[in-house]
Amino acid sequence: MSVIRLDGVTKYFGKKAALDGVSAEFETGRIYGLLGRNGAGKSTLINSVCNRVRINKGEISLDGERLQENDKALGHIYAMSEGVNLPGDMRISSAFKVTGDFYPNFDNEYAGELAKRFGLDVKKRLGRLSTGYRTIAKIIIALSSGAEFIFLDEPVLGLDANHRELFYRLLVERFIDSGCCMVVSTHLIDECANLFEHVIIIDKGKVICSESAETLLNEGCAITGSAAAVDRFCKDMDILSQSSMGGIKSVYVRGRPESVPNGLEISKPDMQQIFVSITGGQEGEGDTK
Amino acid sequence: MRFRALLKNSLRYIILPVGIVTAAVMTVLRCFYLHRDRLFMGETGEILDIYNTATFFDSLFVLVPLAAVIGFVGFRRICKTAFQNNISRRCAYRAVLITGSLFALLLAAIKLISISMPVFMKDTGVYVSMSLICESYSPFDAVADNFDFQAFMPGIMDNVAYSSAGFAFAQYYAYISLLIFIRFFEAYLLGASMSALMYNRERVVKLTVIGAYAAVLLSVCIYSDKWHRLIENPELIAPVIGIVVFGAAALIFIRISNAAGMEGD
Repeated sequence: MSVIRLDGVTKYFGKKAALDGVSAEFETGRIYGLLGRNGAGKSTLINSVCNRVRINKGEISLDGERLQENDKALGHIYAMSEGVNLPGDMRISSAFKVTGDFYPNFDNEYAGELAKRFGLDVKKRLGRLSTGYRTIAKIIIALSSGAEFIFLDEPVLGLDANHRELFYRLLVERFIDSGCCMVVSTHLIDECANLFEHVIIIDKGKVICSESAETLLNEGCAITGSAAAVDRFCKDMDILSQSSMGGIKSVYVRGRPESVPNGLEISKPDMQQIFVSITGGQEGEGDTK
Repeated sequence: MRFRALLKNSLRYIILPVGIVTAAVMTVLRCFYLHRDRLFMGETGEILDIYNTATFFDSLFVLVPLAAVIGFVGFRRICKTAFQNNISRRCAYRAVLITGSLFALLLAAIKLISISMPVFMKDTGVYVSMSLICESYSPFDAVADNFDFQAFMPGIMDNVAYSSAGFAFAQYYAYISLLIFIRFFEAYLLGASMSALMYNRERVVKLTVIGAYAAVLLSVCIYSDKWHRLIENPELIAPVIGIVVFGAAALIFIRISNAAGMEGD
Protein backbone atom coordinates (compact mmCIF):
# COMPACT_ATOMS: atom_id res chain seq x y z
CA MET A 1 0.00 0.00 0.00
CA SER A 2 1.33 3.46 -0.94
CA VAL A 3 0.44 6.68 0.84
CA ILE A 4 0.66 10.33 -0.14
CA ARG A 5 0.95 12.41 3.00
CA LEU A 6 0.42 16.16 3.22
CA ASP A 7 1.75 17.72 6.38
CA GLY A 8 0.97 21.35 7.20
CA VAL A 9 0.89 22.39 3.54
CA THR A 10 0.45 26.13 3.02
CA LYS A 11 0.23 27.89 -0.32
CA TYR A 12 -0.18 31.62 -0.74
CA PHE A 13 -1.39 33.41 -3.85
CA GLY A 14 -0.35 36.96 -3.09
CA LYS A 15 -1.48 37.52 0.48
CA LYS A 16 -4.33 35.02 0.33
CA ALA A 17 -3.68 31.55 1.69
CA ALA A 18 -5.22 29.13 -0.81
CA LEU A 19 -4.08 26.28 1.45
CA ASP A 20 -3.59 26.93 5.13
CA GLY A 21 -1.75 24.20 7.02
CA VAL A 22 -3.45 21.33 5.23
CA SER A 23 -2.71 17.83 6.51
CA ALA A 24 -4.26 14.82 4.80
CA GLU A 25 -3.50 11.33 3.56
CA PHE A 26 -4.37 9.48 0.38
CA GLU A 27 -3.90 5.71 0.33
CA THR A 28 -4.00 3.31 -2.58
CA GLY A 29 -7.04 1.02 -2.63
CA ARG A 30 -9.46 3.81 -1.76
CA ILE A 31 -11.69 6.26 -3.58
CA TYR A 32 -11.66 9.70 -1.98
CA GLY A 33 -14.12 12.50 -2.39
CA LEU A 34 -12.43 15.88 -2.24
CA LEU A 35 -15.23 18.35 -1.60
CA GLY A 36 -15.34 22.07 -1.10
CA ARG A 37 -17.09 25.22 -2.19
CA ASN A 38 -15.85 27.32 -5.09
CA GLY A 39 -12.42 28.74 -4.29
CA ALA A 40 -12.00 26.48 -1.25
CA GLY A 41 -8.58 25.26 -2.42
CA LYS A 42 -9.36 21.85 -3.96
CA SER A 43 -7.54 22.47 -7.24
CA THR A 44 -4.61 24.10 -5.43
CA LEU A 45 -4.35 21.02 -3.25
CA ILE A 46 -4.24 18.76 -6.33
CA ASN A 47 -1.73 21.03 -8.08
CA SER A 48 0.44 21.09 -4.95
CA VAL A 49 0.53 17.30 -4.77
CA CYS A 50 1.51 17.17 -8.45
CA ASN A 51 4.31 19.71 -8.01
CA ARG A 52 2.50 22.10 -10.36
CA VAL A 53 2.56 24.86 -7.82
CA ARG A 54 5.30 25.56 -5.32
CA ILE A 55 4.09 25.26 -1.75
CA ASN A 56 5.22 27.89 0.73
CA LYS A 57 5.27 25.70 3.84
CA GLY A 58 4.83 22.07 4.78
CA GLU A 59 5.80 18.76 3.28
CA ILE A 60 4.25 16.40 0.75
CA SER A 61 5.59 12.86 0.59
CA LEU A 62 4.93 9.57 -1.13
CA ASP A 63 5.80 6.62 1.13
CA GLY A 64 8.06 8.88 3.14
CA GLU A 65 9.89 10.19 0.08
CA ARG A 66 9.61 13.91 -0.57
CA LEU A 67 7.40 14.55 -3.61
CA GLN A 68 8.44 18.05 -4.60
CA GLU A 69 10.91 18.02 -7.52
CA ASN A 70 11.06 14.22 -7.33
CA ASP A 71 10.47 13.00 -10.88
CA LYS A 72 10.49 9.34 -10.01
CA ALA A 73 7.82 9.77 -7.33
CA LEU A 74 5.79 12.20 -9.45
CA GLY A 75 5.59 9.52 -12.15
CA HIS A 76 3.23 7.59 -9.84
CA ILE A 77 0.68 10.40 -9.87
CA TYR A 78 -1.62 11.52 -12.66
CA ALA A 79 -3.89 14.51 -12.31
CA MET A 80 -6.71 15.38 -14.63
CA SER A 81 -7.13 19.15 -14.35
CA GLU A 82 -10.32 21.11 -14.78
CA GLY A 83 -8.77 22.94 -17.76
CA VAL A 84 -6.96 21.42 -20.72
CA ASN A 85 -3.20 21.46 -20.32
CA LEU A 86 -2.42 19.52 -23.46
CA PRO A 87 -2.06 21.62 -26.64
CA GLY A 88 -5.35 22.21 -28.44
CA ASP A 89 -3.93 21.27 -31.82
CA MET A 90 -2.87 17.85 -30.57
CA ARG A 91 -4.85 14.87 -31.86
CA ILE A 92 -6.34 12.62 -29.20
CA SER A 93 -4.33 9.65 -30.48
CA SER A 94 -1.15 11.77 -30.12
CA ALA A 95 -2.20 12.75 -26.60
CA PHE A 96 -2.42 9.02 -25.77
CA LYS A 97 1.06 8.52 -27.24
CA VAL A 98 2.57 11.49 -25.41
CA THR A 99 1.05 10.40 -22.08
CA GLY A 100 2.43 6.91 -22.74
CA ASP A 101 5.92 8.43 -23.02
CA PHE A 102 5.64 9.76 -19.47
CA TYR A 103 3.64 6.94 -17.89
CA PRO A 104 5.12 3.56 -18.81
CA ASN A 105 2.04 1.71 -17.58
CA PHE A 106 -0.26 3.70 -19.87
CA ASP A 107 -2.65 1.23 -21.50
CA ASN A 108 -3.09 2.35 -25.09
CA GLU A 109 -5.39 -0.52 -25.94
CA TYR A 110 -7.68 0.25 -23.01
CA ALA A 111 -7.68 3.94 -23.99
CA GLY A 112 -8.81 3.00 -27.50
CA GLU A 113 -11.50 0.76 -26.08
CA LEU A 114 -12.79 3.55 -23.80
CA ALA A 115 -12.81 5.98 -26.74
CA LYS A 116 -15.06 3.56 -28.62
CA ARG A 117 -17.38 3.16 -25.62
CA PHE A 118 -17.71 6.93 -25.29
CA GLY A 119 -18.01 7.39 -29.04
CA LEU A 120 -14.90 9.59 -29.21
CA ASP A 121 -13.04 9.92 -32.52
CA VAL A 122 -9.35 9.69 -31.62
CA LYS A 123 -8.32 11.37 -34.86
CA LYS A 124 -9.89 14.65 -33.75
CA ARG A 125 -7.84 17.48 -32.27
CA LEU A 126 -8.40 18.35 -28.61
CA GLY A 127 -9.17 21.97 -29.39
CA ARG A 128 -11.98 20.99 -31.77
CA LEU A 129 -13.91 18.97 -29.23
CA SER A 130 -17.01 20.13 -27.38
CA THR A 131 -16.66 20.73 -23.63
CA GLY A 132 -18.16 17.31 -22.88
CA TYR A 133 -15.94 15.39 -25.28
CA ARG A 134 -12.87 17.28 -24.09
CA THR A 135 -13.69 16.08 -20.59
CA ILE A 136 -14.16 12.56 -21.95
CA ALA A 137 -10.73 12.69 -23.61
CA LYS A 138 -9.19 13.78 -20.31
CA ILE A 139 -11.04 11.05 -18.40
CA ILE A 140 -9.83 8.38 -20.83
CA ILE A 141 -6.22 9.52 -20.53
CA ALA A 142 -6.46 9.61 -16.73
CA LEU A 143 -8.07 6.18 -16.39
CA SER A 144 -5.59 4.64 -18.85
CA SER A 145 -2.53 6.29 -17.30
CA GLY A 146 -1.73 3.31 -15.11
CA ALA A 147 -0.66 5.68 -12.32
CA GLU A 148 -0.98 4.58 -8.71
CA PHE A 149 -2.69 7.82 -7.72
CA ILE A 150 -5.25 9.41 -10.02
CA PHE A 151 -6.62 12.83 -9.16
CA LEU A 152 -9.74 13.88 -11.06
CA ASP A 153 -10.65 17.55 -10.81
CA GLU A 154 -14.27 18.09 -11.89
CA PRO A 155 -14.33 14.94 -14.03
CA VAL A 156 -17.96 15.21 -15.07
CA LEU A 157 -17.87 18.81 -16.27
CA GLY A 158 -20.08 19.11 -19.35
CA LEU A 159 -20.98 15.40 -19.49
CA ASP A 160 -24.57 14.37 -20.18
CA ALA A 161 -26.35 11.96 -17.81
CA ASN A 162 -25.53 8.89 -19.93
CA HIS A 163 -21.85 9.68 -20.13
CA ARG A 164 -21.75 10.45 -16.41
CA GLU A 165 -23.22 7.03 -15.64
CA LEU A 166 -20.70 5.39 -17.95
CA PHE A 167 -17.87 7.30 -16.28
CA TYR A 168 -18.92 6.24 -12.77
CA ARG A 169 -19.09 2.62 -13.91
CA LEU A 170 -15.67 2.79 -15.60
CA LEU A 171 -14.11 4.49 -12.60
CA VAL A 172 -15.24 1.68 -10.30
CA GLU A 173 -14.18 -0.99 -12.82
CA ARG A 174 -10.72 0.54 -13.14
CA PHE A 175 -10.46 0.95 -9.38
CA ILE A 176 -11.29 -2.73 -8.80
CA ASP A 177 -8.84 -3.84 -11.52
CA SER A 178 -5.91 -1.72 -10.45
CA GLY A 179 -6.42 -1.07 -6.73
CA CYS A 180 -5.10 2.42 -7.24
CA CYS A 181 -6.07 5.54 -5.32
CA MET A 182 -8.70 7.73 -6.95
CA VAL A 183 -9.35 11.23 -5.69
CA VAL A 184 -12.46 12.82 -7.15
CA SER A 185 -13.07 16.51 -6.70
CA THR A 186 -16.60 17.46 -7.71
CA HIS A 187 -19.58 19.67 -7.05
CA LEU A 188 -22.06 16.95 -8.06
CA ILE A 189 -21.91 15.50 -4.58
CA ASP A 190 -25.07 13.41 -4.57
CA GLU A 191 -24.21 11.67 -7.82
CA CYS A 192 -20.74 10.69 -6.66
CA ALA A 193 -21.56 10.03 -3.00
CA ASN A 194 -21.91 6.28 -3.51
CA LEU A 195 -18.40 6.09 -4.97
CA PHE A 196 -16.62 7.64 -2.03
CA GLU A 197 -15.07 5.57 0.72
CA HIS A 198 -13.54 8.55 2.40
CA VAL A 199 -14.50 12.20 2.24
CA ILE A 200 -12.22 15.20 2.72
CA ILE A 201 -13.97 18.53 2.96
CA ILE A 202 -11.90 21.61 2.49
CA ASP A 203 -13.05 25.14 3.22
CA LYS A 204 -11.12 28.40 2.98
CA GLY A 205 -7.89 26.45 2.51
CA LYS A 206 -8.35 24.26 5.57
CA VAL A 207 -9.40 20.64 5.93
CA ILE A 208 -12.51 20.86 8.07
CA CYS A 209 -13.56 17.24 7.79
CA SER A 210 -11.79 14.01 6.93
CA GLU A 211 -14.02 11.03 7.65
CA SER A 212 -15.10 7.76 6.11
CA ALA A 213 -18.25 8.29 4.09
CA GLU A 214 -20.13 5.83 6.27
CA THR A 215 -19.27 7.62 9.51
CA LEU A 216 -20.24 10.92 7.99
CA LEU A 217 -23.62 9.65 6.79
CA ASN A 218 -24.42 8.07 10.15
CA GLU A 219 -23.36 11.07 12.17
CA GLY A 220 -26.71 12.82 12.02
CA CYS A 221 -30.23 12.73 10.67
CA ALA A 222 -32.75 15.01 9.00
CA ILE A 223 -36.02 15.87 10.76
CA THR A 224 -38.78 17.25 8.57
CA GLY A 225 -42.24 18.58 9.31
CA SER A 226 -44.17 21.77 9.98
CA ALA A 227 -41.88 24.58 11.04
CA ALA A 228 -43.42 25.02 14.49
CA ALA A 229 -43.34 21.30 15.30
CA VAL A 230 -39.73 20.91 14.10
CA ASP A 231 -38.60 23.94 16.10
CA ARG A 232 -40.31 22.63 19.22
CA PHE A 233 -38.80 19.17 18.87
CA CYS A 234 -35.28 20.24 17.98
CA LYS A 235 -34.81 23.13 20.38
CA ASP A 236 -32.34 21.22 22.61
CA MET A 237 -30.57 19.38 19.81
CA ASP A 238 -27.28 20.14 18.08
CA ILE A 239 -28.57 21.63 14.84
CA LEU A 240 -26.09 21.46 12.00
CA SER A 241 -28.19 23.08 9.29
CA GLN A 242 -31.78 23.92 8.46
CA SER A 243 -33.86 24.88 5.46
CA SER A 244 -37.51 25.88 4.97
CA MET A 245 -39.88 25.84 2.06
CA GLY A 246 -43.41 27.15 2.57
CA GLY A 247 -44.49 25.94 5.99
CA ILE A 248 -42.27 22.85 5.87
CA LYS A 249 -38.95 22.88 7.65
CA SER A 250 -36.08 20.43 7.43
CA VAL A 251 -33.40 20.36 10.11
CA TYR A 252 -30.21 18.36 10.03
CA VAL A 253 -29.14 17.43 13.57
CA ARG A 254 -26.20 15.59 15.08
CA GLY A 255 -27.11 12.17 16.48
CA ARG A 256 -30.34 10.29 15.93
CA PRO A 257 -33.38 10.52 18.28
CA GLU A 258 -35.03 7.18 19.08
CA SER A 259 -38.48 8.40 18.12
CA VAL A 260 -40.20 11.50 16.78
CA PRO A 261 -43.71 12.86 17.49
CA ASN A 262 -46.51 12.32 15.03
CA GLY A 263 -46.35 14.73 12.08
CA LEU A 264 -42.53 14.72 11.94
CA GLU A 265 -40.40 12.52 9.73
CA ILE A 266 -36.91 11.29 10.41
CA SER A 267 -34.59 10.37 7.54
CA LYS A 268 -30.96 9.69 6.74
CA PRO A 269 -29.37 12.85 5.32
CA ASP A 270 -27.66 12.78 1.97
CA MET A 271 -24.04 13.73 1.41
CA GLN A 272 -24.99 17.07 -0.06
CA GLN A 273 -26.98 18.06 3.03
CA ILE A 274 -24.05 17.11 5.22
CA PHE A 275 -21.68 19.07 3.01
CA VAL A 276 -23.89 22.18 3.10
CA SER A 277 -24.20 21.98 6.86
CA ILE A 278 -20.48 21.51 7.43
CA THR A 279 -19.43 24.29 5.07
CA GLY A 280 -21.80 26.76 6.66
CA GLY A 281 -25.07 27.16 4.81
CA GLN A 282 -25.97 28.24 1.35
CA GLU A 283 -24.84 31.84 1.23
CA GLY A 284 -21.93 32.52 -1.04
CA GLU A 285 -18.98 34.54 0.12
CA GLY A 286 -17.52 35.24 -3.27
CA ASP A 287 -14.07 34.47 -4.49
CA THR A 288 -11.61 36.59 -2.63
CA LYS A 289 -8.56 35.19 -4.43
CA MET B 1 12.90 8.15 -18.36
CA ARG B 2 10.55 11.13 -17.95
CA PHE B 3 13.39 13.47 -18.90
CA ARG B 4 14.04 11.44 -22.04
CA ALA B 5 10.32 11.55 -22.83
CA LEU B 6 10.30 15.33 -22.53
CA LEU B 7 13.38 15.63 -24.76
CA LYS B 8 11.82 13.29 -27.31
CA ASN B 9 8.74 15.48 -27.38
CA SER B 10 10.91 18.58 -27.69
CA LEU B 11 12.59 17.12 -30.75
CA ARG B 12 9.23 16.09 -32.18
CA TYR B 13 7.56 19.44 -31.69
CA ILE B 14 10.38 22.01 -31.97
CA ILE B 15 13.48 20.76 -33.73
CA LEU B 16 11.84 18.76 -36.50
CA PRO B 17 9.20 21.34 -37.50
CA VAL B 18 11.77 24.16 -37.36
CA GLY B 19 14.25 22.16 -39.38
CA ILE B 20 11.90 20.92 -42.03
CA VAL B 21 9.80 24.04 -42.57
CA THR B 22 12.60 26.60 -42.31
CA ALA B 23 15.02 24.64 -44.45
CA ALA B 24 12.35 23.99 -47.06
CA VAL B 25 11.27 27.62 -47.26
CA MET B 26 14.86 28.87 -47.35
CA THR B 27 15.86 26.42 -50.05
CA VAL B 28 12.94 27.34 -52.26
CA LEU B 29 13.62 31.07 -51.81
CA ARG B 30 17.36 30.78 -52.44
CA CYS B 31 16.88 28.61 -55.48
CA PHE B 32 14.34 31.05 -56.82
CA TYR B 33 16.62 34.07 -56.34
CA LEU B 34 19.72 32.33 -57.67
CA HIS B 35 17.91 31.01 -60.71
CA ARG B 36 16.37 34.38 -61.44
CA ASP B 37 19.66 36.24 -60.95
CA ARG B 38 21.58 33.89 -63.22
CA LEU B 39 18.99 34.33 -65.89
CA PHE B 40 18.89 38.09 -65.80
CA MET B 41 22.30 39.15 -64.52
CA GLY B 42 24.61 36.53 -65.93
CA GLU B 43 27.70 35.42 -64.06
CA THR B 44 28.89 38.84 -62.99
CA GLY B 45 29.39 40.75 -59.81
CA GLU B 46 26.02 42.38 -60.29
CA ILE B 47 24.46 39.39 -58.67
CA LEU B 48 25.72 40.70 -55.36
CA ASP B 49 23.14 43.41 -54.90
CA ILE B 50 20.26 41.20 -55.84
CA TYR B 51 21.51 38.43 -53.60
CA ASN B 52 21.91 40.81 -50.70
CA THR B 53 18.35 41.95 -51.18
CA ALA B 54 17.25 38.33 -51.13
CA THR B 55 19.13 37.73 -47.89
CA PHE B 56 17.48 40.73 -46.36
CA PHE B 57 14.02 39.64 -47.46
CA ASP B 58 14.25 36.09 -46.30
CA SER B 59 15.73 37.22 -42.99
CA LEU B 60 12.98 39.74 -42.49
CA PHE B 61 9.99 37.84 -43.77
CA VAL B 62 10.97 34.21 -43.41
CA LEU B 63 13.58 33.36 -40.82
CA VAL B 64 12.68 35.70 -37.98
CA PRO B 65 8.94 35.14 -37.99
CA LEU B 66 9.22 31.46 -38.85
CA ALA B 67 11.74 30.72 -36.13
CA ALA B 68 9.76 32.77 -33.63
CA VAL B 69 6.39 31.23 -34.46
CA ILE B 70 7.55 27.63 -34.73
CA GLY B 71 9.89 28.03 -31.78
CA PHE B 72 7.30 29.49 -29.48
CA VAL B 73 4.48 27.21 -30.58
CA GLY B 74 6.88 24.34 -29.96
CA PHE B 75 7.99 25.66 -26.56
CA ARG B 76 4.37 26.20 -25.61
CA ARG B 77 3.60 22.58 -26.42
CA ILE B 78 6.55 21.42 -24.36
CA CYS B 79 5.55 23.59 -21.40
CA LYS B 80 1.99 22.33 -21.50
CA THR B 81 3.13 18.73 -21.84
CA ALA B 82 5.61 19.14 -18.98
CA PHE B 83 2.94 20.75 -16.82
CA GLN B 84 0.30 18.10 -17.53
CA ASN B 85 2.68 15.24 -16.80
CA ASN B 86 3.98 16.61 -13.47
CA ILE B 87 7.53 17.12 -14.67
CA SER B 88 9.80 18.61 -12.03
CA ARG B 89 11.07 22.12 -12.64
CA ARG B 90 14.67 20.93 -12.68
CA CYS B 91 13.89 18.40 -15.39
CA ALA B 92 11.87 20.94 -17.42
CA TYR B 93 14.69 23.52 -17.19
CA ARG B 94 17.19 20.98 -18.48
CA ALA B 95 14.96 19.95 -21.35
CA VAL B 96 14.27 23.57 -22.32
CA LEU B 97 17.98 24.41 -22.23
CA ILE B 98 18.98 21.43 -24.35
CA THR B 99 16.12 22.01 -26.78
CA GLY B 100 16.98 25.70 -26.91
CA SER B 101 20.59 24.86 -27.77
CA LEU B 102 19.57 22.42 -30.49
CA PHE B 103 17.02 24.89 -31.78
CA ALA B 104 19.61 27.66 -31.99
CA LEU B 105 22.22 25.40 -33.56
CA LEU B 106 19.73 24.34 -36.16
CA LEU B 107 18.97 27.94 -37.06
CA ALA B 108 22.72 28.63 -37.25
CA ALA B 109 23.17 25.63 -39.51
CA ILE B 110 20.38 26.74 -41.80
CA LYS B 111 21.88 30.19 -42.03
CA LEU B 112 25.36 28.79 -42.67
CA ILE B 113 24.06 26.58 -45.44
CA SER B 114 22.42 29.60 -47.02
CA ILE B 115 25.69 31.52 -46.66
CA SER B 116 27.61 28.68 -48.29
CA MET B 117 25.61 28.82 -51.46
CA PRO B 118 27.16 31.97 -52.95
CA VAL B 119 30.62 31.09 -51.61
CA PHE B 120 30.54 27.83 -53.50
CA MET B 121 29.69 29.73 -56.63
CA LYS B 122 33.27 31.01 -56.77
CA ASP B 123 33.94 29.00 -59.93
CA THR B 124 31.43 31.20 -61.65
CA GLY B 125 33.66 34.18 -60.91
CA VAL B 126 31.27 35.66 -58.43
CA TYR B 127 32.81 36.87 -55.22
CA VAL B 128 30.39 37.75 -52.48
CA SER B 129 31.58 39.77 -49.55
CA MET B 130 30.98 38.00 -46.26
CA SER B 131 30.14 41.15 -44.40
CA LEU B 132 27.34 41.82 -46.84
CA ILE B 133 25.73 38.41 -47.07
CA CYS B 134 25.99 37.70 -43.38
CA GLU B 135 23.46 40.30 -42.35
CA SER B 136 21.86 38.91 -39.27
CA TYR B 137 18.41 37.81 -38.38
CA SER B 138 19.51 37.87 -34.76
CA PRO B 139 21.19 40.87 -33.11
CA PHE B 140 23.75 38.52 -31.58
CA ASP B 141 25.12 37.78 -35.03
CA ALA B 142 26.20 41.41 -35.09
CA VAL B 143 29.02 40.46 -32.72
CA ALA B 144 30.30 38.06 -35.37
CA ASP B 145 29.66 40.55 -38.16
CA ASN B 146 31.83 43.13 -36.42
CA PHE B 147 34.52 40.79 -35.21
CA ASP B 148 38.02 41.78 -36.32
CA PHE B 149 39.19 38.56 -37.92
CA GLN B 150 42.34 40.29 -39.20
CA ALA B 151 43.47 41.02 -35.65
CA PHE B 152 42.33 37.66 -34.31
CA MET B 153 44.08 35.50 -36.89
CA PRO B 154 46.91 37.61 -38.35
CA GLY B 155 48.94 34.57 -39.40
CA ILE B 156 46.20 33.29 -41.62
CA MET B 157 45.00 36.62 -42.85
CA ASP B 158 48.46 37.94 -43.80
CA ASN B 159 49.04 35.03 -46.09
CA VAL B 160 45.96 35.46 -48.20
CA ALA B 161 45.12 38.25 -50.48
CA TYR B 162 42.14 40.25 -49.29
CA SER B 163 40.08 39.67 -52.36
CA SER B 164 40.97 36.05 -52.92
CA ALA B 165 38.70 33.13 -52.34
CA GLY B 166 41.25 31.94 -49.75
CA PHE B 167 40.51 34.89 -47.56
CA ALA B 168 36.82 34.39 -48.04
CA PHE B 169 37.06 30.81 -46.83
CA ALA B 170 39.33 31.61 -43.85
CA GLN B 171 36.97 34.33 -42.79
CA TYR B 172 34.03 32.11 -43.52
CA TYR B 173 35.16 29.33 -41.17
CA ALA B 174 36.20 31.78 -38.45
CA TYR B 175 32.79 33.33 -38.79
CA ILE B 176 31.09 29.93 -38.49
CA SER B 177 32.98 29.11 -35.28
CA LEU B 178 32.08 32.41 -33.72
CA LEU B 179 28.50 32.14 -34.88
CA ILE B 180 28.10 28.72 -33.30
CA PHE B 181 29.60 29.98 -30.02
CA ILE B 182 27.23 32.94 -30.08
CA ARG B 183 24.33 30.64 -30.89
CA PHE B 184 25.08 28.59 -27.76
CA PHE B 185 25.19 31.71 -25.65
CA GLU B 186 21.93 32.90 -27.17
CA ALA B 187 20.34 29.48 -26.70
CA TYR B 188 21.18 29.42 -23.02
CA LEU B 189 19.88 32.93 -22.57
CA LEU B 190 16.70 32.01 -24.41
CA GLY B 191 16.43 28.75 -22.48
CA ALA B 192 16.89 30.47 -19.13
CA SER B 193 14.30 33.09 -20.06
CA MET B 194 11.80 30.48 -21.16
CA SER B 195 12.35 28.41 -18.04
CA ALA B 196 11.87 31.42 -15.81
CA LEU B 197 8.71 32.36 -17.69
CA MET B 198 7.41 28.83 -17.53
CA TYR B 199 7.41 28.15 -13.86
CA ASN B 200 7.38 31.45 -12.06
CA ARG B 201 4.16 32.97 -11.05
CA GLU B 202 5.26 36.43 -10.03
CA ARG B 203 4.68 38.96 -12.77
CA VAL B 204 7.70 40.91 -11.61
CA VAL B 205 9.96 37.91 -12.34
CA LYS B 206 8.48 37.52 -15.80
CA LEU B 207 8.84 41.19 -16.62
CA THR B 208 12.40 41.21 -15.25
CA VAL B 209 13.31 38.27 -17.45
CA ILE B 210 11.84 39.87 -20.57
CA GLY B 211 13.41 43.20 -19.67
CA ALA B 212 16.83 41.61 -19.10
CA TYR B 213 16.63 39.76 -22.40
CA ALA B 214 15.65 42.91 -24.27
CA ALA B 215 18.41 44.87 -22.49
CA VAL B 216 21.05 42.32 -23.48
CA LEU B 217 19.88 42.40 -27.09
CA LEU B 218 19.90 46.17 -27.10
CA SER B 219 23.38 46.33 -25.53
CA VAL B 220 24.70 43.98 -28.18
CA CYS B 221 23.14 46.12 -30.89
CA ILE B 222 24.73 49.27 -29.49
CA TYR B 223 28.08 47.63 -28.70
CA SER B 224 28.39 46.14 -32.14
CA ASP B 225 27.57 49.41 -33.85
CA LYS B 226 24.45 47.76 -35.22
CA TRP B 227 22.45 50.67 -33.92
CA HIS B 228 24.21 53.20 -36.16
CA ARG B 229 24.16 50.86 -39.08
CA LEU B 230 20.48 50.41 -38.49
CA ILE B 231 19.84 54.14 -38.67
CA GLU B 232 21.94 54.42 -41.81
CA ASN B 233 20.51 51.26 -43.34
CA PRO B 234 16.84 50.90 -42.53
CA GLU B 235 16.76 47.54 -44.30
CA LEU B 236 18.67 46.05 -41.37
CA ILE B 237 15.54 46.30 -39.30
CA ALA B 238 15.26 42.50 -39.12
CA PRO B 239 16.95 42.21 -35.70
CA VAL B 240 14.58 44.79 -34.28
CA ILE B 241 11.68 42.81 -35.67
CA GLY B 242 13.22 39.82 -33.93
CA ILE B 243 13.15 41.62 -30.57
CA VAL B 244 9.56 42.74 -31.10
CA VAL B 245 8.50 39.24 -32.13
CA PHE B 246 10.26 37.80 -29.09
CA GLY B 247 8.57 40.29 -26.78
CA ALA B 248 5.15 39.64 -28.28
CA ALA B 249 5.64 35.89 -28.17
CA ALA B 250 6.78 36.10 -24.54
CA LEU B 251 3.69 38.08 -23.58
CA ILE B 252 1.42 35.60 -25.38
CA PHE B 253 3.29 32.82 -23.64
CA ILE B 254 2.63 34.36 -20.23
CA ARG B 255 -1.05 34.58 -21.01
CA ILE B 256 -1.12 30.96 -22.13
CA SER B 257 0.84 29.75 -19.14
CA ASN B 258 -1.46 31.64 -16.82
CA ALA B 259 -4.52 30.29 -18.60
CA ALA B 260 -3.14 26.78 -18.26
CA GLY B 261 -2.90 27.38 -14.53
CA MET B 262 0.89 27.35 -14.41
CA GLU B 263 1.01 29.12 -11.09
CA GLY B 264 -1.05 31.72 -12.87
CA ASP B 265 -2.25 34.92 -11.40
